Amino acid sequence: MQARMVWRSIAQQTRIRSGRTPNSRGVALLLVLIAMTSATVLAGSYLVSRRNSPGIGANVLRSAQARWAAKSAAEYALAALQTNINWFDADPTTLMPQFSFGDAMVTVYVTNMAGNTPAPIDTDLVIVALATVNGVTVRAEQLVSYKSGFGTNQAFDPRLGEFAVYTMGQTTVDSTAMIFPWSASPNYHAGRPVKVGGAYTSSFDAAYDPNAAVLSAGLYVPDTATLSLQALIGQQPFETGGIVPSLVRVAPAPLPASFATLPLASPVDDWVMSSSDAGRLDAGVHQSLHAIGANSIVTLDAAKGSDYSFNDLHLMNQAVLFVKGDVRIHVQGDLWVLSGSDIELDKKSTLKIFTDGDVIVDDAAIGFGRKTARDAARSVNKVEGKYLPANQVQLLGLRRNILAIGPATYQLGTNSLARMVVHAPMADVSIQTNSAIFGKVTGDTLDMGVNAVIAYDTALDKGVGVTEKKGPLYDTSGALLPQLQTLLATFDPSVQTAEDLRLALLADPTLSAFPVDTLAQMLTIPTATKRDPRRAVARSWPSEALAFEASAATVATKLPWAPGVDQITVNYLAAIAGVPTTPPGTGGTGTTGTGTTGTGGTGITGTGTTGTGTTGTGTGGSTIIPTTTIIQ
Amino acid sequence: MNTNVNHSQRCATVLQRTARGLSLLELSLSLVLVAMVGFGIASMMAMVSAGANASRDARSALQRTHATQIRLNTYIHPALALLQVDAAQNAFVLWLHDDRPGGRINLSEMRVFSLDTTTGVVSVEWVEFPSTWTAFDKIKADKEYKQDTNFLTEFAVHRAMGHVRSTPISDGVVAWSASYKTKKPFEARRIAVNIAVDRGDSPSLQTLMTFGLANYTKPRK
Repeated sequence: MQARMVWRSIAQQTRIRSGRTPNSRGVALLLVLIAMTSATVLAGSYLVSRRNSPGIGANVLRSAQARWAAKSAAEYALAALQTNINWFDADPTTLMPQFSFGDAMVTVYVTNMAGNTPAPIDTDLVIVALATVNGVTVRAEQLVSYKSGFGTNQAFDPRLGEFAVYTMGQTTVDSTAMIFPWSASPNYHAGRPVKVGGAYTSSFDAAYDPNAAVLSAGLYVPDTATLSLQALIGQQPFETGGIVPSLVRVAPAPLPASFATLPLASPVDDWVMSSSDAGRLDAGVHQSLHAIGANSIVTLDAAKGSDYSFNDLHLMNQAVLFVKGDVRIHVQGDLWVLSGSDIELDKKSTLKIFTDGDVIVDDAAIGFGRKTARDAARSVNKVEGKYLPANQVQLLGLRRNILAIGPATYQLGTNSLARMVVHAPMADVSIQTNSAIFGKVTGDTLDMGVNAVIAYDTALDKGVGVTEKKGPLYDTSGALLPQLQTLLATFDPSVQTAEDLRLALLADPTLSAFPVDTLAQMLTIPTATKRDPRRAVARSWPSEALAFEASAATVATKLPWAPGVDQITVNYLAAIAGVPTTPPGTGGTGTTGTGTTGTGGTGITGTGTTGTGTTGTGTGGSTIIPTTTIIQ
Repeated sequence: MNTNVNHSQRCATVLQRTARGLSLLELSLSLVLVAMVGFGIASMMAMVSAGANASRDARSALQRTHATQIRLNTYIHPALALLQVDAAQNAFVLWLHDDRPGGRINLSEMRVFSLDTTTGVVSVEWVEFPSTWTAFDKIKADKEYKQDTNFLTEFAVHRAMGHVRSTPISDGVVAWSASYKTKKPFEARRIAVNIAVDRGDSPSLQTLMTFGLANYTKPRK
């Protein structure tokens, strides 16, 4: 009886626990909740781990599409530059604005090596192609040697500016001397060697010490050179070189005709500047100028006339000859710049010095400012980074009877610095201890002594001169153009001047354009945009690798044209971000008197503001700038 | 009679009091069930975790391999020549450009690629002269080398002088080797790079990459 009651009670309790009473619920629910939570966490984690995979894949695809579009567009732009299209008349920087290339939108820019807008005379260009696919932007770059902007008569330089050193006779270079490209020059990275050479034909005249630091240099000799001289090409200290037609000969510059009619200027007697004197001369003929007083300053201002003539011009004791504007000087006697003196140019001024006599620069400076000139410890190190075009100062030796009176002597003595182009094919040029010329030298002979330096301004070499066999002076077989040969053969440098040759070149209309590839024309059907690979030659340049290193470096980017390219990228991003293509909204028309309110128009992504007044004018909405990724 | 009633009431009271918890059997059953479910969930989580890890490691290895290939190609494709391969040092040397024109190899034109086996990092090194030097000093220090120079030794000298900069190209690299088919490295127009990338508990990811030197230029002697 009792057992029955117990079992009944158990059964009753079991019923209670089976959910029939509130206290027994929840265990299963708890388990289910735990299981569901675990499953949710697991599923969520898995989904989260997978969520960026499509994005990664999409970005890889977009960057690949953009990369190849950018590379292709750069090649496309190169092909365009190889035609004779005149692309300077439009926007020379934006060569190809916003065009569709595959799945990418591409813009191609062209700059010069300094990153600025190119001019027709710029021969070293940078093609920058920026391609964007869905917010992923890739940049491709190419360095191009562009020759299409030159006619033959413009490309031929009678003064052979492409040579750092050119001599009629012997060149002697000491083992401690240096010839190298001026690294601050904008065309430093153009990839051309520093060219040295001359009209000499004997190896005896190329007296370069094998240990001399003639860096990145090529030796160029006439085709009449002896085999022993030709054998020096590519041998220490020269890295490369070549043969130049012997028809190419240099002549001295002429004295401009205007000097013959210069008025007599006051003072006509020898003028001596005393200490701290300052004077401004009138243009015209002066007897002699001796600025020998300490810190005396003589100003030649083109506003008072551009031509000045002196018997002698002597600057001593930290005197300064200050030039404003484009000035020409004829020194019939000697030019001295001594003991801390300076020939200084105002910004964007130029100076041409025509000399009959000797030139001595000793313990002084030309073209670097009085601070450098007066610095007793002046050195190449201190001025190498300060670039100004070397041809702002031109020292031009006039013709003289070498047989009768001997060559003129141009001497940079001890510890002197000069930023100038020396063109004196009838002068013996000497650069002595610790002295340097930043520019170039053409002389009858050249002697470089202990620690003498020539830092060649590479901007003087356009890459289209007589050493460039794939330029506008040569046909496709590498021979001088026949018209040019005829003209050069009739040129007599013993009586004619470089200016005579220049005028003769300009007078020949057949030489006024880039030479046509006649053979290619015969073989193919002529078209308006025929390509000629000689017009634009791409040079390999690891821009992506260098950009990668620049991004990793803590110092500023090493790319030579970085500032310009950076600005280009900024401009490009602004361009693709866009401005509202829908014009600003126009307000509704109100009623006169009551002046109801107009309603603004609608821009790309926004609604314009509300206009007011009788005729209210609204403003269009603005676009949303997309997030853009730049990949080098 | 009263006694029985009291007894049964007492039993009911006892049973009611103890019935608030689980019986031993129920508790055992529920514990087993919970344990089984827990074990199942743990196994599933471990499996999913292992799968996710393996997937992540594989994807990471693929991405690192891809990045290595892209970055190496960025250097090798435009480079002028292969200069040296040293298996012992896990390194090779490229002539990247001829910025100092003329056809000779200058110090600043070289790049050294090496694997540090202790860290698994592949780096590229290049010479960067002190910023306090003038351009003139840098030009003078930018020496020219012959094509058969031991470039790695030269680099070691400049590394010791603090003139070498480097940046990682890839990490998690277990081993790599570069090879070429020509007699001299500077004659090679193609380079093969075999790279093994760490993939966690799985065997390393082996990839053979081949690169062409599009701008091959034989350096001057």
